Amino acid sequence: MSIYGEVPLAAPVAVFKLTADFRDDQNTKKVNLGVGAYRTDEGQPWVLPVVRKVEKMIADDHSLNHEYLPILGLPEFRSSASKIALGEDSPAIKENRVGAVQCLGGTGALKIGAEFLRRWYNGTDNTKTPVYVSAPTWENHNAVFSNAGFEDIRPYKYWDAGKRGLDLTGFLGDLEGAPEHSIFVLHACAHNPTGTDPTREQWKQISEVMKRKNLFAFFDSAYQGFASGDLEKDAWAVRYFVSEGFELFCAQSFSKNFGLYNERVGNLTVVGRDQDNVNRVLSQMEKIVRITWSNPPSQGARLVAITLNTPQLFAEWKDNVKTMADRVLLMRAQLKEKLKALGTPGTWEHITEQIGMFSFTGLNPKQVEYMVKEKHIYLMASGRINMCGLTSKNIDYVAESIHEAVTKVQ
Amino acid sequence: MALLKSSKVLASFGSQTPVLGALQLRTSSWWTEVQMGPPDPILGVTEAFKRDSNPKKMNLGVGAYRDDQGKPFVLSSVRKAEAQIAAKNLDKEYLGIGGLADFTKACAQLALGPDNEVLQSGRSITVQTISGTGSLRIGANFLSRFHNASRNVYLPKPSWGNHTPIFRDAGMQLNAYTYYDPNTCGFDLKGALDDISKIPEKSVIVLHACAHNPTGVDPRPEQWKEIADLIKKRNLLVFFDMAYQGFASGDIDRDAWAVRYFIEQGHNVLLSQSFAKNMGLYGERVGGFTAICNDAEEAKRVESQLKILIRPIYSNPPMNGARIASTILNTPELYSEWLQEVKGMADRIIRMREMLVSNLKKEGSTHNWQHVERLIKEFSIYMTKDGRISVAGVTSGNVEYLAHAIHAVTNFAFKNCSNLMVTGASRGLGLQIVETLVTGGFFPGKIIATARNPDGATELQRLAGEHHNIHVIKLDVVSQESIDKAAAEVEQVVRDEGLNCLINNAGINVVANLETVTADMMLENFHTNSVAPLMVTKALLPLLKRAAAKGTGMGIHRAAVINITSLLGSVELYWGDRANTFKWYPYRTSKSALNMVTRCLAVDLESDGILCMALHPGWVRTDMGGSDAPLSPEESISSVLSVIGGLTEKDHGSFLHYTGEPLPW
Repeated sequence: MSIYGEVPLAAPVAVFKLTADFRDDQNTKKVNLGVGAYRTDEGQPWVLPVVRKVEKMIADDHSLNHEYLPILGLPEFRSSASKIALGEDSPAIKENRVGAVQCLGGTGALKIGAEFLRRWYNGTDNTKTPVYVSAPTWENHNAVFSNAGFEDIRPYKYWDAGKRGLDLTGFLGDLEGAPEHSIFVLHACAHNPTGTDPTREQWKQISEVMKRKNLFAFFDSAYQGFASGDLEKDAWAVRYFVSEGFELFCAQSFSKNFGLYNERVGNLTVVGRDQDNVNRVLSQMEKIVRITWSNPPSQGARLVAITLNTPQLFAEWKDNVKTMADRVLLMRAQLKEKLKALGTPGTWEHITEQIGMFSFTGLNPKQVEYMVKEKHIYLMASGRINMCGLTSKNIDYVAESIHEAVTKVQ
Repeated sequence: MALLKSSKVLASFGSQTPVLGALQLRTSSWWTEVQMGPPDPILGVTEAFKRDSNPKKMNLGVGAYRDDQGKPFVLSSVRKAEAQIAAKNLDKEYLGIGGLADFTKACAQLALGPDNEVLQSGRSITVQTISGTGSLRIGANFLSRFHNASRNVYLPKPSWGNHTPIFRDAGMQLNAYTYYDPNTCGFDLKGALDDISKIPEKSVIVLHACAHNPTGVDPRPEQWKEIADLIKKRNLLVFFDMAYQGFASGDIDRDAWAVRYFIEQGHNVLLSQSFAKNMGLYGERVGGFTAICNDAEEAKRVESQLKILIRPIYSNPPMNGARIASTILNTPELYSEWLQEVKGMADRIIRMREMLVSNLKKEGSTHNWQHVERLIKEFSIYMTKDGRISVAGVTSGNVEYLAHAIHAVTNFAFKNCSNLMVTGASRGLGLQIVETLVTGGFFPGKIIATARNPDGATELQRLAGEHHNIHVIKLDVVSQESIDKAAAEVEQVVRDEGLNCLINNAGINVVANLETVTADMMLENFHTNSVAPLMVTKALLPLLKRAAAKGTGMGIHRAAVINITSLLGSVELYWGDRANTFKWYPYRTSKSALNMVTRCLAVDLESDGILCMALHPGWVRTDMGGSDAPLSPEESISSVLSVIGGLTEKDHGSFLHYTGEPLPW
């Protein structure tokens, strides 16, 4: 009799399984539109030139060592990361009411924020506070909050499948109907998986209701700069909320915009009413980190901190980010044009209206299955594709395959 | 920013900040009810020791290794592995949830031995974790979710301070079994067996694989055998924590003996591994969690669930450290070099222990330090105040005492400093200076602590009530009248002996950038930070000269003026890569001016034998430094006092970092 006799086999995490299936596919035409990482036009991973440069600086600097970072992380990383999110001249930063915790990627930042909120928000250890995530959302949002102990996780209306765009009325209605103090997870830009963001005017309406209803904003900012190519533009919503007086969290990931996927670099920015509140919040977050991973890994944070704090490297990084964003925008434009040229039924404007790495094609599960099985084009069952998987070499094949799937499969 | 924040600063915040209209809408904070969490002192201790400039120093605090120069040590095998990795120009794609396969395989082999039947039959699963803590955390979560037979976890008494909160937070019930005998300073086999025999079946028992943290006392092989036997009879689930493989004895196989023996005896153990210590990869966060199962099918099921647990915590682990460890473990030349280096580190620890014992003896300690020599590694349980084991709060208590004890050994210079004065002692660093001096037990002289409002300085008054060598004097450094009055009072205290050490610590930070700065703000900051230290020094000059006349050489045994400044005042450092931070015109310029005041005083007072220097105490978590600062006041001041205690002629006219290193002006 084994102690593990009762452990059931868990289903593999979908996105990791898709990658494995793709790897095992022998077909030469295969295309992977499933992964959550940038690819060059040659379909290759890309290490940003500025990252290579800073890596070399670090390697050549033998005064650096492998000592533990503080529990909350590298101070110069945390402050510069928050500055990127809130803006160089953020009044909140000047008023000393911003704090930060270095975390393992965006997931880690959401995790620490969620653990804190369960312990100290809306009472203490209140597992009943409703947490709203967009419908649809990144598949891990649910698990992060439920694993942190939240029992009432609800979807809020976001995607209008018919319009292939934002369901603003539904969204605002759910905000109006949410109990006071509910937590709303908001995608700061480049909504994952739909690629559809509210406009500035729409964000203002969202903010107005959230303030009036006393709702908590937890931003997930995984694509700053990657969406539009412009750091400031992509941070607009977060900064607007801060300017409206919200106390909020912002989980930042540097996986995509720095291409530092496996270094696990993230930051949880905390905006509070004043310094005293932020200090107490951070002191409690320190306790949570200590029993989760003790202290975060240093390499990635060092890379980001040096880049952000060195004007010349910072400028170089912004160029690199723009290179990535521009390629995605180009692929979007081309895919739309090709589908239109093929006369594929339906409207395809949403492909260029959406932003960021992902596009919600609107393909239904059967059509997706057709794409995978018949065309060896791998994408998530939701119809989400990673635009970076498209290259000038495979875009014709992908467009034709979508055309085929849409016309042949209902 | 290392100095005290006056109420004037608060006022200046109010007047200078254009508060947004919208901000007023919400007057209350979500977080008013959040209590301040107690700081975790363990990790910061490394920092404090790092800055200790005494050549005899030993880092016994946080379990981080130091070389013979007391510096962090990067293994040569690690440097070589890093170079090999860099040459490959590898990509930065996400690792799988379970981590780097080459690493997890080698990690399990290191622990179990490459020929272990478990590995050959594939009935174990190893996932990469965020070092030892992350490994324990994943293991605890797994137990909480799937070990339905029992919620009980039994820890040795005492155990690593973080074990309890990790398991508790995962929802397990904590219990303890006897382990350490404070009377013999050794392993209490009988007590352990007695307790284990009463543990309910199917409970989880945590065993430290080697180099028990914090006692450093391990069972001998024949004792392990008895324990393994009993645990089998009681049908307990064993969770090994192995944070020091190779680091304990210098021999990786010897240190893994217990783990391998238990497995051989049929225990399907859980195992946590860390590469922080044995590879010196502390900040890279490299570890592994292994579950040994009945068969390969079961291992697959367990693996699938471990991934489900990891995904909502951090998605997937960091690559850098795993690549380094994997390269070392999988490259024969690097592997053998690493084994040598591990042995070298283990051997040096033994020498460090001997140094500590002899130094404490030399200081005339009445405690019995013999048992220190019996410890296996660098933790500090032997340093508790009564010389015995304290079960509760072991880590934090040890660490605090340790810092004091180390400084008692290293800061003997203060024994020859009869009278010391510190301004701005009501809170922040000034208060910490006073507190560390009196509670560290190495300052027998008189301490004159000044405060603008002594009646409001409750903590300082409390200290003064307990330590009669503290003299609290009222001093408002921006008032000449107050300075003169205070100087007269100081003379009453020090009399013929004169003043040996003046620490000009009082200061403020009037925060303003180019946009917001006004002439009044500049002058206010200047008055407190630049003008006042000069005027205070001037007023006390007769007393400093009086003390200086009695001695030779230079230092606090004779007479010294220490100006607490900031590297933000360094004109040279605020340029290029280091510019564009803390755009504080009043503070930065006032500290630059203070630096020049220091240099001028040094020139003028050299012939009197009065040492003058400027000292940057670091960025400290005080009211003024804020919560983002990396240093606690204790850490900063233990280092600051170490620097002050060691000042000699060569430091006259210098501008030093709290680590003792010179800073550019």
